[in-house]
Amino acid sequence: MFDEKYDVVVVGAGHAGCEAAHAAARLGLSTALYTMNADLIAQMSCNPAVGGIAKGHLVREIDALGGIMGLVADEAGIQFRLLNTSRGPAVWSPRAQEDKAAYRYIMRRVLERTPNLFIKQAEVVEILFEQNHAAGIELLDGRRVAATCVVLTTGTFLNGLIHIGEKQFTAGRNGEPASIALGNCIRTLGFDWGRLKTGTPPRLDRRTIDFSKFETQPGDLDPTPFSLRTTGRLENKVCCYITHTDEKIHGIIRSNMDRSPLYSGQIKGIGPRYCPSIEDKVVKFRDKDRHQIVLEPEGVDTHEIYVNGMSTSLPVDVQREILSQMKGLESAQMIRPGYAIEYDFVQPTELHPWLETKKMPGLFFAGQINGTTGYEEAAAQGLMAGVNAALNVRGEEPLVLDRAAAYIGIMVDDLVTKGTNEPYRMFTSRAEFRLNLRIDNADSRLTPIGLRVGLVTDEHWASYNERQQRIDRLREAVASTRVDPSHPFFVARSMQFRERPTLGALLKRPEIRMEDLIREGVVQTEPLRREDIVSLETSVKYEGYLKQQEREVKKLRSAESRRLPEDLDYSNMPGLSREIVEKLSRVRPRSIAQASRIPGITPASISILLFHLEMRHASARSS
Amino acid sequence: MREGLHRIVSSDETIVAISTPFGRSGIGVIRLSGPAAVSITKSFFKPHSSDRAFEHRNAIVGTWMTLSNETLDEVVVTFFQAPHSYTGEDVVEISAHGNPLILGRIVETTRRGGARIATPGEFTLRAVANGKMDLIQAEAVREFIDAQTEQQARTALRQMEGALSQRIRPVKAQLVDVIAHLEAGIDFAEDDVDVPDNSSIADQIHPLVDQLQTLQETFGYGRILSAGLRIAILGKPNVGKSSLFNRLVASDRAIVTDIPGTTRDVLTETISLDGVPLRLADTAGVRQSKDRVESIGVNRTFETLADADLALVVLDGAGKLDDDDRQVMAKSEGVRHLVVINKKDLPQVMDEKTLNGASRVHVSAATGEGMDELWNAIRRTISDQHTDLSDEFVLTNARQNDAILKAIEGLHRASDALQEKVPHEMVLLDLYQGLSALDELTGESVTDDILDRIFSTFCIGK
Repeated sequence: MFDEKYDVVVVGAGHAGCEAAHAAARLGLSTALYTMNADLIAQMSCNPAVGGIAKGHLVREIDALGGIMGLVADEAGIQFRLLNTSRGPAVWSPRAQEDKAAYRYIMRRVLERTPNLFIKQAEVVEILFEQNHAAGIELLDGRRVAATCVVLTTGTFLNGLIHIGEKQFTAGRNGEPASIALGNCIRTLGFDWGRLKTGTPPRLDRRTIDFSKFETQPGDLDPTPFSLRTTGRLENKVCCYITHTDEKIHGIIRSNMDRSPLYSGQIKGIGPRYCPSIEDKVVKFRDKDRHQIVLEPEGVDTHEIYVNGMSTSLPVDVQREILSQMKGLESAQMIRPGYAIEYDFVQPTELHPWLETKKMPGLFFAGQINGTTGYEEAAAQGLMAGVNAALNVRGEEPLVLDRAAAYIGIMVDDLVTKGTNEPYRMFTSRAEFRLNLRIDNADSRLTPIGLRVGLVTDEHWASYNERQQRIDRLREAVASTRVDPSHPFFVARSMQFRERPTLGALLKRPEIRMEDLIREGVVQTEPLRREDIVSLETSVKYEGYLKQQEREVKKLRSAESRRLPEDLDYSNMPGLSREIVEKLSRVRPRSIAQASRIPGITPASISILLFHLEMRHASARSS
Repeated sequence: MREGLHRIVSSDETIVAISTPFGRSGIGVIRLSGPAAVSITKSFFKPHSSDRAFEHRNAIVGTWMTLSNETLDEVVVTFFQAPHSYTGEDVVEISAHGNPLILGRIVETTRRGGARIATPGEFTLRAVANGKMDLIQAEAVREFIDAQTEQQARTALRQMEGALSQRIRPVKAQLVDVIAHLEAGIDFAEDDVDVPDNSSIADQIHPLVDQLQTLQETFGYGRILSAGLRIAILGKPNVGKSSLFNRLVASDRAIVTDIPGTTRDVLTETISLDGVPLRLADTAGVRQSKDRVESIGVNRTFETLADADLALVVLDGAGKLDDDDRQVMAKSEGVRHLVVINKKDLPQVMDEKTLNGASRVHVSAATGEGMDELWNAIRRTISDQHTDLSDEFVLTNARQNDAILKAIEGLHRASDALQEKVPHEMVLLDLYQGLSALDELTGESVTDDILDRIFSTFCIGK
């Protein structure tokens, strides 16, 4: 009855699908990765960049767990910048411009070199079930593939509908067919589904742009990699170019608003507020007289240029008119127009915190199907779904990261606890323990976990340990090394000491910076990343804040350890209102802490929940 | 995002609450439960004799001191060692005089010492968590649910009236605005986001602290509003205390005769002045006496005086000051007091120079002359507790007070940190502490408002 059989089948080979398939295969499970076009694996459908504030954190975390996005992004990267370095190291985040073609090529190479992983080109039209449990998939040509777990990473393909001005047509990405059959299959399974919208800007031909009219944005002199396993020096091969819109352009947009499907009511899906289309920017921020536009190269071997900041669904002639009014783009040729796309997603409250659907055991979702946006968000979920599908097949406990452990944990918890009404993107402000979730400690937070589940290779583990020892030695040196007060550094600053101060005591002073001490030879260190050194320094300078955060983490963990039994019947609990019972029954929180995060759950109902929990324990003890 | 996890039973926190019903009673009991119960007690409690140790069920008599080492009250402290206590944790019970102002001040000292005000039903919850089921099983469930629903009902009522929330919401909205600006600066550093400089952020925080402080200062007054201002009328026999009492309550409940010493017990009556309950107590006349019954009355008088928020010391303007008068005045030294010189309608012979400038009012309880002046003097006493009487809202509840203090503390720290150029992601920790304390007051979390605020204020996204 089945033509083929795998432990895990992943449907969709975007950023979520690649990580999911790699993770499941790494854990030793036979894994098939299905894509409609094997030449477009890991396609970057929107901007040619990976990382950014909070997103760069996600990539470091994926890397620390043993995922692949960081390595691929480093190798395919053509310009690297560490963002937010004017602030503390907790919010430093790497970002890189990527060569899109190289990214696809390298990702495919990594996947093909992964044992147990098989790439398959076919359209999946149906998920198969046996008594409600996922059992496999059916392909367009009628073949049936058996699997113990199925991971859906469908991106914008489920009933994808593209809008360009008044025109609309079904597509998964521009030029690629949508998944209509699979979309309709998901709609009939009884999930709480909806429509979201996202958009992309036009792409231009480099040869037709006058770059002298733009401000140049170069990469960092000392590029920061995503992966702590990347050893070679990273090279900046391109620059980006910055300009702004003006009132004249805004006038053109306003006068064509009737032709925007976003404002005519043609688009029903909800778009992200933090990635508004150019027409949204002009309408909602009327008093802002200019908006930033960044030209980003799509690669080194192509003329294609991405117009960051001009995401739009306006008709092509209006897009052309807008561009022609921008200094330096007067005679720019468009390679592809911008467009908006609507697609199906499923409310992520349908999921367990290990990304398995509650209704259909064995069926996992990751990426845009869960209402998120962004390559990094997708990849992070893909990794978690892949690991958990594999653990499920092996009959082991699922892996759930808590909010104090990783941005990945925050994202998944937000999704499954609160659901989402717009495409969900990661921000550092979503992290209540932001000071602890840094790019420099992503490995100490997560690599041991990656090792435990089987994702981290021996080589990765060895380099992790070597690095941790270097950091430990630096920490030890800060605590115990006494500096020489007669050093020219102190003389130049007319600083005097009664006795030789320790490095730690010195760093407590706001005006003393570790990087200056190293540069001027007051202390010697082994080679470490800048973020490691500054982070250690920060932990000395702002010890109080970090300790306060530690106390909060302890409270959270204690609340997370108060598990709510699966079989808890909320409707029989005196003192809870019907509305609260309904909310608790839908989300079925795993812990008191998770329950307290469900929107609309009152502190009083949490107390009642706690009380019942304690009563249960007490009667269990006495019987 | 940042939820009030303090509700989770965490045995490392010590909680405190007044455990006798709110309002006037002879004795008030404050209960401390948790690992620091004894150490907190020891930092404020001075036993009268040092040989009584903190052993299980030992009751120790002593004095409760303030942080500045002043005597607050004579108390009896009883220690119950874990697990042999109501909650199963170390518990200290402090029995003090029932005056809610004093009880509140004792609770405040323990709070400063590191205790946290208990949430409704939290003692019961801890008891259950520690397996004390056999002790309390029967009533525990109902008691607990009642505590929660009562809290909900109160919250609902309050939200209907909106008094506190109305005050807090604008402060919260402005705080969210400050936070949104700082967060936008961090999360959207790549976008065109203008982050205000530290001093202008601090300028936005300071008025919020002022507003919260104004609210917080209503706390003492708020307790007077709900529990009443206790006024003791005292003086030597036959100076007209009962006549004054009657004039004040405008009734004939007290027996008034010309024979000294008729009022041998304490008569009380509650009247209302501008909506503030005044609990008047007419006391037995104070004089040296061999009469056993009368001297019991005199002792009661001094007990009443100790509990009073205000003493009206009544003197006879038509007579000379004597030792009994001086004893009354000496006894009322420790209490806020007002000298009432009665019998204004008779020829005045008293030498007022010896009164040493104590504030005084001349009245005639018999004719009612000078009573308006007395009422105004009492009004001043009330308004001294509260700077702005026209401000309708007052804080009445220790938990609300606790939350506002926490919020103020967070905002103060944030503004200090800004001055010291601490990175914004750390300053935000202090601001979030302030915000979550305010969330507790309004019962609604505004965390999601922060992103809304960012997206509506800044044009984010490339």
